[in-house]
Amino acid sequence: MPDIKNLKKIETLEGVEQYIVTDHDGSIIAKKANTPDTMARIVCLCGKSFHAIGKSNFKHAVFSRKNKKNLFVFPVGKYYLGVIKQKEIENFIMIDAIVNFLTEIMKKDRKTRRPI
Amino acid sequence: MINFCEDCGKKNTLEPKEFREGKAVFKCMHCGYFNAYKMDSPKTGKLGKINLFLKNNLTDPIIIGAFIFHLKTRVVINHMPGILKDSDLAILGKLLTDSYTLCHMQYTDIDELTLHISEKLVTIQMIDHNIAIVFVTKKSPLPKKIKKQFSDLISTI
Repeated sequence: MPDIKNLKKIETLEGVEQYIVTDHDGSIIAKKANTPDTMARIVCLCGKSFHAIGKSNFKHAVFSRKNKKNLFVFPVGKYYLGVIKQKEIENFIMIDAIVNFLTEIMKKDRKTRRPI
Repeated sequence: MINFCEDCGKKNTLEPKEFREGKAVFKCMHCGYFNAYKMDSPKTGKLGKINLFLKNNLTDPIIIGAFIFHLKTRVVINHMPGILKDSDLAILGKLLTDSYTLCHMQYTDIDELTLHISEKLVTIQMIDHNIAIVFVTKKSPLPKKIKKQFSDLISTI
């Protein structure tokens, strides 16, 4: 399970315009969003539906928008991560960056929890 | 074409002659209820043209299948592998369209939802307020050529 402190660093990732982290009840854990309550509702409810469809094989979802500020939903352990990208960045670059970011923080988390 | 009884909700397969003046008119084979609700003809209507498009374009090896989901009458055209039942597709269609609609209420410029599950991509587009098309592909998105042809078709019907 990723440390929230580490997860918040998603804000510094190139191409991220807004982000939100919710738990499975829709409570906001971390955010940088213009309309956090609405974004949290969307990310949590859609995340649950996507999880119902794909179970543990659900990797991510992309809502494509005409203004190119696409919304991504990622399952992260007991949380859902929602990211709105900047319009200049390509989808696949943003997805790769987020996947790498999540992999890194999961690795860090495993290291810090290793028994001495 | 698959249509559902308004009374018992069970599946009926209709012949083209059962579409009259923009309506599906049929007696349910399960409960005998007389149905007559608004629905395009499978040959000349919007759905018919999309069905023809799908028949002609789903041969690309990257495409696993596609289906058309109607918000009220559920799966109306099914080009998915036989292993998936209509009831499975109806649940999939419902979850996807609900998610799309929820997001569209806030971000009105949404035009597509893509779900990455395992090594497959599930893409949903709304054709109008009630009808959605779902494409399932292997790993990569729908080929650009097919996507362009489909969007041209939608803009003409």
